[in-house]
Amino acid sequence: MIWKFAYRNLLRNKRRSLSTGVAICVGFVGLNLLGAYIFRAKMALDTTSIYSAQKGHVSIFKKDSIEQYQIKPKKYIFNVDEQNQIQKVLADLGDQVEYTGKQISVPGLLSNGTKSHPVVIYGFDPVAFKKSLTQPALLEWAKDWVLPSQLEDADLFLKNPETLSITPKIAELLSFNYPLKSNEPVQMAARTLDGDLNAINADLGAEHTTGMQFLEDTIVLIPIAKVQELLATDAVESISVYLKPGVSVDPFLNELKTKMAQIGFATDLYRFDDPIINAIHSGSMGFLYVMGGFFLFLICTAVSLTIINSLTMGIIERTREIGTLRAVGFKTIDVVQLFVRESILLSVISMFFGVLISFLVSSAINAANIRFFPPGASTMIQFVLKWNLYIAGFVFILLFIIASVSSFLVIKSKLRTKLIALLNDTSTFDDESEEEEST
Amino acid sequence: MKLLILLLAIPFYANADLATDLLRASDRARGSVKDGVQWSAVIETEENGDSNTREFNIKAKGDDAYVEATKPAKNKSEIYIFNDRNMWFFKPSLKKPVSISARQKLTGQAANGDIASTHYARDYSAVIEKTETFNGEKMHVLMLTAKSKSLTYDKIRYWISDKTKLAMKAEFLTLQGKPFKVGMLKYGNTLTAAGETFPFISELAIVDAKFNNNKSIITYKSPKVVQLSNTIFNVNNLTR
Repeated sequence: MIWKFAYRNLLRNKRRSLSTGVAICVGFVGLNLLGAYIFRAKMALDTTSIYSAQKGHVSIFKKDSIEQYQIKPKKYIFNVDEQNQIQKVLADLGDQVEYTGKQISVPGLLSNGTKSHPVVIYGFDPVAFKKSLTQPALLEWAKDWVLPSQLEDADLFLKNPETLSITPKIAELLSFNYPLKSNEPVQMAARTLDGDLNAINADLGAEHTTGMQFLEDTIVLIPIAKVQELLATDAVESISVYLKPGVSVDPFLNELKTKMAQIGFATDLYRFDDPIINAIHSGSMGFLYVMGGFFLFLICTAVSLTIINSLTMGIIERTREIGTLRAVGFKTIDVVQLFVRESILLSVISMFFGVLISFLVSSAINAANIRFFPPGASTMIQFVLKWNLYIAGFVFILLFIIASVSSFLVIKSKLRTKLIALLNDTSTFDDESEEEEST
Repeated sequence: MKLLILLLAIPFYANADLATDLLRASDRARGSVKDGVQWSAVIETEENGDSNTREFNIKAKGDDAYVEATKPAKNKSEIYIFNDRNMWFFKPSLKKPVSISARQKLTGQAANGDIASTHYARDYSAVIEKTETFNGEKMHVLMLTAKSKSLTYDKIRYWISDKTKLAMKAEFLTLQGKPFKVGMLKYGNTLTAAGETFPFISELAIVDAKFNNNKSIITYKSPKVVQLSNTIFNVNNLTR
């Protein structure tokens, strides 16, 4: 019966209910779309980190390698025996591991025969690369970070292990002609792990993008065997572990850490989003979380104040009604429930429309294919809002709680007033008058 | 007023001329000879507890130099070509030579450019900073500033003997003017060119300014004037 009363009361002042409902609805839509944007950004960063940047879900490095590898590379690499020991540990966790990939990187020179350009040469496992490039998650969340030509032939590096992939920016700097499938011979030079200058040939045959503007003139990719040839070694810098779908990263990481502690050399293990190996991920998400938190605070405050304002006005107008309700036998709790349910009802109806509107707005924006340059990005990406039921549910619960608590607090304070004062409609929200009434 | 400016400028130009003359004279003893000259160099390096030895045959003529690694076996037949201020690296397995920087480390403390860069008078602007006594000899201390970014060092403080016109010490400086390597030169060889016999460098010891145990000693052996064809300095001939 109280629900029925509450519904009728909402209709008594339609204009005020409508304006309050619109405020709640707009707040809900805003938070929902913001959440959809942050969710998309996180998923895109996650998948590009794991698959495009080939960090895997977990990366295994020699202890202190992150700080020391560039200074003393020979000391901070995994030799063949150590690689085998790690693979044995990973084989024990085979029910969780989908595949692994080895990497090694080195600063060096890329030469077109007439001039050289300083680059970081990144050696990758071509089998793992192919698997990563064809991951459904990568194509779903981060297609903008994969060049169309990369998807044309994921077997390219398996067919020709001499193939070098460069970015469009490096192609421009070294005056390489498009398409880059000419297998034009290029040379790479670097210091070996023993400190000698060495150079090797490679075939220019692919292009990629790093996704970041400041890396576009720096990173070249080539199968790991070529980098090992350049460095005169069979060692690797890191091993990336890619987990099967549904496997949680943190429990796996803890289990792997326990097992790795038992082998004969010290290692460092990192999650793909660890700031130590992925500052871009943590920096970008940190910024988005701070921004999201700020907007969350603003919108929640605005919604809360709107409800308080609307209810306060309603209560002032309905003071005598409250007194009457209590006079005919309604308990204080019943009156509180009535007003709280009015707020809940209004919030639920508003947010129901909010769900529909946010879904429609995000669908319309996605269909419009709006493209923009995120800060520091190398290419334009689509402005995508990934509407998500979990986010909608979270925002729904949050605003529901805010509406309920706000209305409860407002009505609770009013009901401290004496019944006779309510019936005479002489009360206000002034504490002094309440005290006078009570005396 | 004009006369005053002229009078003030004269010492500066005179100073710069003297500095350039000293530099030109000292370059000759390091291989800057118009006719072709060749020598072999052994670089012994000690760095972070590791030591290694590398050997090269060097042929230089005018602004060009041809450097071939002879030892150890794994580096044999590697070639460095200096064309004017450009430097190239080549080895038989490469399809094309690679353009490299003179600043890059060759081995230990020795940069690529150290092995055959002999034209300081051409590559650096020189001014005399001061005159002082070093090892009992009067020395002109020159401040050399690179004329191009492609040179081995940005700045060098260079001690040239007033008597012999030979460079005896070099401090290789950062852009901020702080020494990061110190080179000591010895002249135990002689070379005869155009009927004149003059001292020729026999040792360049390059020591890390901060970590004295990290050092490379370049020993110059068997210098002689030879007729060299220009074709050996042509980088395009490497791949033919």
